[in-house]
Parts: sequence; C-alpha cells; structure tokens
Amino acid sequence: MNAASVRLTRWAVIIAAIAALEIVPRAGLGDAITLIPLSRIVPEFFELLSDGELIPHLLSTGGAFVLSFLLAGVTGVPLGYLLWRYEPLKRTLDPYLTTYYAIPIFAFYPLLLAIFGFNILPVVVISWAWAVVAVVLNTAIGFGEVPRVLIKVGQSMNLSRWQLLSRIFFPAAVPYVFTGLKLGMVYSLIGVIASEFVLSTQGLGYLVSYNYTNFRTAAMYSAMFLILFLAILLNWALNSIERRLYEHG
Amino acid sequence: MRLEVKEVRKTFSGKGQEVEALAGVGLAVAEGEFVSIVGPSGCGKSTLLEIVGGLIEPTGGEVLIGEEPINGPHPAVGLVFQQESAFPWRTVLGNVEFGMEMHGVAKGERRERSRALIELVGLKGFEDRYPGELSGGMRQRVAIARTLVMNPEVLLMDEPFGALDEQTRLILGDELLHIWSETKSTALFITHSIEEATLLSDRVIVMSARPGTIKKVVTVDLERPRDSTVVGTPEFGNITGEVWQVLREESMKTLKGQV
Repeated sequence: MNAASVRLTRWAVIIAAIAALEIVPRAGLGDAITLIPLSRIVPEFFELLSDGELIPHLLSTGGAFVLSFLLAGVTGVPLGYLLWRYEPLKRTLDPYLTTYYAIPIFAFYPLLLAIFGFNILPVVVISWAWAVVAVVLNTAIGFGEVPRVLIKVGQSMNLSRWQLLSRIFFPAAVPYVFTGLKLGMVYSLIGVIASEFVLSTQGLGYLVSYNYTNFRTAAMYSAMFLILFLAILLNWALNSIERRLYEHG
Repeated sequence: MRLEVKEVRKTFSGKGQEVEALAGVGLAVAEGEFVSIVGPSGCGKSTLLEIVGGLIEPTGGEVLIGEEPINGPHPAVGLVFQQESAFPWRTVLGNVEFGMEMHGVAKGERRERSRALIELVGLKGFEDRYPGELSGGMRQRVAIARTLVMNPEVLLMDEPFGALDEQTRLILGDELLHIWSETKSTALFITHSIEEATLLSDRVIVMSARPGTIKKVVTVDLERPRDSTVVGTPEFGNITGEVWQVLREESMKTLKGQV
C-alpha cells in the first residue's frame, strides 16, 4: 500500500467507528441505556463543557496526573541510577522488580484509603507506584548499556568522576531514560483514571463511574471523550518531544 | 616524547580461571617515531595499548612516558579506539571540543583549535552535523580529531580503521600519514593489517600468539613522505613478506588452539 491509501484507510477507520456509534444504538442493537447515539452525546458534551461542570474534574485529574508523573520522574531516575550503581541492591531487588507489573496494584485500594483517607493523595500514590518502576528499570538499563568505549574515552581524557557521570554516562543513557519516562507518563494517566473510579469524589474517572451508576449516559460519554482527548494529546506531545530528541539519530 | 614498555605482564583472573594475556613485553618508541604492532587475534595487543594508555594496570612491569613511569592515564597521551566512539549526542564540533571543554579551555580558543583540526581531518562543512548523519569513516575521523586537538605528544591507536573496508582504510592511512607529519607525535598503532602497518610505520612489531610476547621487529626503510602508492613497489612487498612469514606461524598457532 502506498502512503496515500494508508492515510485514506486510517480516516476510513475513524469515520466507520463514528458511524457505528451513531447507527448501532439507533438500530436498537445492544442495551438502550448504556448505548446511545453520538448525536445525543455531542450536544450534551458541549453543554457540560460550557456550563463548567467538567472543568473541576478535568483539573483534578490533570493535577493528580502531573503530580504523580513528576514524582515518578524525580524519584525514579535517581533510584534507577542507584540500582545500576550498587550491584548488591540490584541483585536483592531484581525478583521484585521483574514481577512488579504482574501484580494488580489497584486491588490494594482499601489499604491506601485506610492510610491516606478519601482525597487526592491515594490517587497520586497509586499512580506514582504504578509509574515509577518503569522509570527505575529503564534508567538502570540505560546506565548499564553505555558502551564501554565511551567510558574509556572519558577515562583517557582524565575526566573527574562527576564529569564522567554527567558528561558521558548521563547523556548516553538519555534515550533509555526517556523511554522510561514515556512509559511512566502513560502509566500515570492509567493509574489516575483507574483509581478515580473507586478512590475519589473528583476527576474524570470518578465522573465516568458516577454518571454510569446514575444513568446519566450522555454525561458519562462526555467524560470518556475527555479522557480520550487527554490521552491523544499526551501521546502527541511525547512523540514530538521524541522526534526532536532523535532527529540526529 | 619517548615511550617505553618494560617487561609488562598481564594476567586476567575471574571465575577461578587465570588467563595470561601478556608474558613480558618490552619495547621502546623514540620521539616522533611511528611504530605498529601486528599480531594474531587474541594476542593481547589491545590490552597492551590500554596498559600504555593507563586504562588497565599491568600485573607486572612498567610503562614510561618521557622518563616517568605512568600511574593512570597520562595527560600527554591521546587514544583512538577501534569501536565507534564519537558521542552521538554532540555535533562534530561539540565532539572535537569535548576534551578542551572538560579541561576549562576558553571558548574562543576551543573553537579555533577545533575548526583547524576538523579541516585537517577533512570534515570542513560538517561541523554542525551529528555522528548519526555521517559515514563510518567520517565518524572515525571525528574521533581522531577529538584526540588530536589535545595535541598529544604520544598517540596510541587501536585499529582505528579496523571496522572499515580496505579502500577506505588505505585512503585514511594516507590522510593519517599527512596529519602525523604535521603533528610530529610519537605514535603506537595497532592493526591486524600488514599492509596498513607497513605503509604507516618506521618499524613493525610482530607479536606472538597468546600469551603475547614480541616475536620480531621489522624495520621499514621506505622513504618518507610516503603514501599508499608504495603498496605496489617490490620493497614494500619484501617487507610485508617478511612480516607475514612470522605472523603466519603465530596465526596458525592461534587457529590450532581454537580447533
């Protein structure tokens, strides 16, 4: 397939999906309470947006996401460095780290509620915990993968330990660290939305579950669209940063 | 600055096994002399170069740079490696400036010296490119310029053109001869190519199969300045023939050891 027909097919998929959202409910296929046509969702979405009902939830989700992601970056990169630097630490933690993502951390939400109470804190903690390990692992791998020869260049130039770390190890590890941050960002968002279903009285995740249980279907879809929009925006931002980072690849 | 290697031995130990890499190597390179070392693969020639560069400590013996025994990398010694070593995150200019930047040389001087070296290695016009945008041969020139810009009195090169094809290697050999004739540094060059060693050197040292020792020293009495057109002369053939005779025997030993 050539580039033009690939692009055409992509648009066709989107248009087909939108059409399905309209046609399937109208044809009476599926549950009439949770499946409503797009033409009923869109006006409701704009109404909710304009009367400001969505804004506090958007801010709450955005704030929790930014906070948990920043925390994951600020703690994850140094922890990754330590893990690489101290072999015994790595050997001790390795089995925990490699099985980490096999554990559905969300199952422990009652514990977090008991510790932090019913506010934004458990949401941030669970999202941080979900994101930080990806940052730690990728940072540690990045430092470990620095080519020996680059280190030898630095040593032969009589660089200090600090110069060796900041001018050779760190820039050489950046692509891996960035991969970790990228994963961490996505995990943060997933963590925030998923934990808002049960851990919060605010945020887009909460809004989806609240509107669902109260049969406000159009409002539920509005929250979903906002989440989708947020994820797409994030993905676009990450890709453009990455392109800039690797354009000299 | 002269360089001397005195009875250098190196044994690597690990996992309860000991491997003797170098069994007493002695050699001297006079000031401004160009000496090459050839040897069968695994004979410890790279190890020897890293010992001279102060990156590895020998098990026994010592290395003198000038009249002083070294204790770690010597500031007057520059190293060029076989593997890709240009920093991919820096431009050509950024790479060449790196050493001076680390040692606090003022920006104006850094620029000036780097631009001169970039021109010398034939990369003028590529100052703002990144290594990922260059060919393998050009990347190796960046690494060479980055080392030469520090004005090393002793230049150590570990198969700098080893990853390149034969034509590129001979052309870069010509360029290296030209650059070296301008810098007048003392040079120790490691290669597995007999032609390259003969083309470049005043003397070619042949190392034995592991554990490495010096098997033979061949003097290259071809006139300087030279370039790769000498490759076709009978004198050149005589010298490479003499080197090959010894090297063949040692390479056979290595091969037999592997079978």
